[in-house]
Amino acid sequence: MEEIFYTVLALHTAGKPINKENIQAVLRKAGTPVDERALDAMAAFVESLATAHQEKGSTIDPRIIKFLTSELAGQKVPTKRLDVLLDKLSKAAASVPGTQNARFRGMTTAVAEKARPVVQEGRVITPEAKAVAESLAPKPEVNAQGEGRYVYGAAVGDKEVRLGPIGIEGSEVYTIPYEDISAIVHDCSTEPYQSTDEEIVKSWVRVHQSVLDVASGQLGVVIPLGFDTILQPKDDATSPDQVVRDWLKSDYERLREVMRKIEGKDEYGVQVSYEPMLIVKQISEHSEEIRKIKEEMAAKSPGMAYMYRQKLERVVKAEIERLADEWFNDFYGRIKKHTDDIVVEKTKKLNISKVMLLNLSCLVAREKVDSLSQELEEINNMDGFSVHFSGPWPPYSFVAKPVVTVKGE
Amino acid sequence: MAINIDEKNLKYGVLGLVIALVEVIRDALKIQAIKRMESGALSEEECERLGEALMELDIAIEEIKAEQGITESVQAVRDGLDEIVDGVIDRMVNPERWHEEAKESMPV
Repeated sequence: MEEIFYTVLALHTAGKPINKENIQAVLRKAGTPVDERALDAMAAFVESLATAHQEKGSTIDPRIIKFLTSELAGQKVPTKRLDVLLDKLSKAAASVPGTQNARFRGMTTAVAEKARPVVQEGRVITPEAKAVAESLAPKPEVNAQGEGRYVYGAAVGDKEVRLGPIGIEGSEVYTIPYEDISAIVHDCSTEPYQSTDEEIVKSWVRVHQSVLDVASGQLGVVIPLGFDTILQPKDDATSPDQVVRDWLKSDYERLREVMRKIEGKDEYGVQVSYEPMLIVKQISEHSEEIRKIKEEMAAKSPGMAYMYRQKLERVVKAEIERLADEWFNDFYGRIKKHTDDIVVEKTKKLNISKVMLLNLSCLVAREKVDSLSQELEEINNMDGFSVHFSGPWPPYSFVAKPVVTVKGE
Repeated sequence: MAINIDEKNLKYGVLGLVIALVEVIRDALKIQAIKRMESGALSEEECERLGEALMELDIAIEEIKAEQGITESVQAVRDGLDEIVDGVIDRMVNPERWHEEAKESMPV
């Protein structure tokens, strides 16, 4: 039984998915006889753990932690044998294919923390268990390092610049130059960053964003690329660095053009919404047609009055749509004056009391930001309208997709 | 459109879907009713009966939604339908985008 338990730990340490197939593969590679019954039990257990985890977010069933902790403390494994076993299993686990499974990271860390006090009591397997517990702590991915390059963006500059360990999961960020432009990268495996935990993904995206901020502070014009852009060699003959240089080379003209376009400018998000309730009130007061229907309605019997009410609703709706068109053109024109480029994004559903009228991504020169925000202030002050203004962002919306093969697309 | 159903939300899911469809049909009926009324093809009395029937339907639907606690799931289904229709119309009226989309989805 203990082999299986330590295999799970070894798989986790190596960043592989923990499932029946992998446990079996590791045990076989390590030349350990497989106890089918125990294997089934462990697989079922790990699976139930995964479901429990998915359903409850980040909390782990305390019974499971208790079980694992008592397992760790209760195993009276001779220390030498444990050492050898763990070493063997770790090696075997490293060769099992699979991706880092972030879901299990939280689980085993929790186990490690719980296990530590037990270890300190020094009852059974003190130094070894301590080593096991420490090896459980999350580590930056090292096993697959160097195969791919995570690209944050492209910048001006012909020298290799090191930006420090500011990348995703503390990766060392640096630039790979080609002629007078360079790519901002960190070394990574070719597996895209992905996780079922939304918070983890959010934190990665935030780091992506902050790296771009640091880069534009140090390097000047930076073309941002989307999260999870990873370049990898097609074959063993080319080095990952070469692939990045090849990309810069093949895309050179376009990148230079985009840099010229976005130099000295930032992206801003502008969203204008209106309050339908207020607008309906305004319309009913002003529209002749609506006033007439209302008058007629007052004298009717219930069934007819209902029909008139339906008619009224339709007239109001049509009027709002007509006005929305007018507003759109008006606001779009007023905002466009202050921008160098503009992209109309899809509007989003907000709630019952607010309807988004227009959603724009604007490329704005730094000296024009003030006049734009003044214009928006005027719109915001209009009755029934509100403006959401955000930025400055890296100009994501104004750099076309790079011409590269990106894994995971 | 994928419909997510598990034992817990089966009731909300299916009932919500059914009521959402009833609402869509009701809305279509209303539009027809208003058109006929405006065209003058209906007598005063017919209009009255039509109006009362539709009103009762409205009340019944609202009651069912409140009783079963499915107002939100009905809205969710309708929002989903709206989105699909928006998407289809958007594609139909902007044929120039087809070319771009085809280009984007091509391997580079």
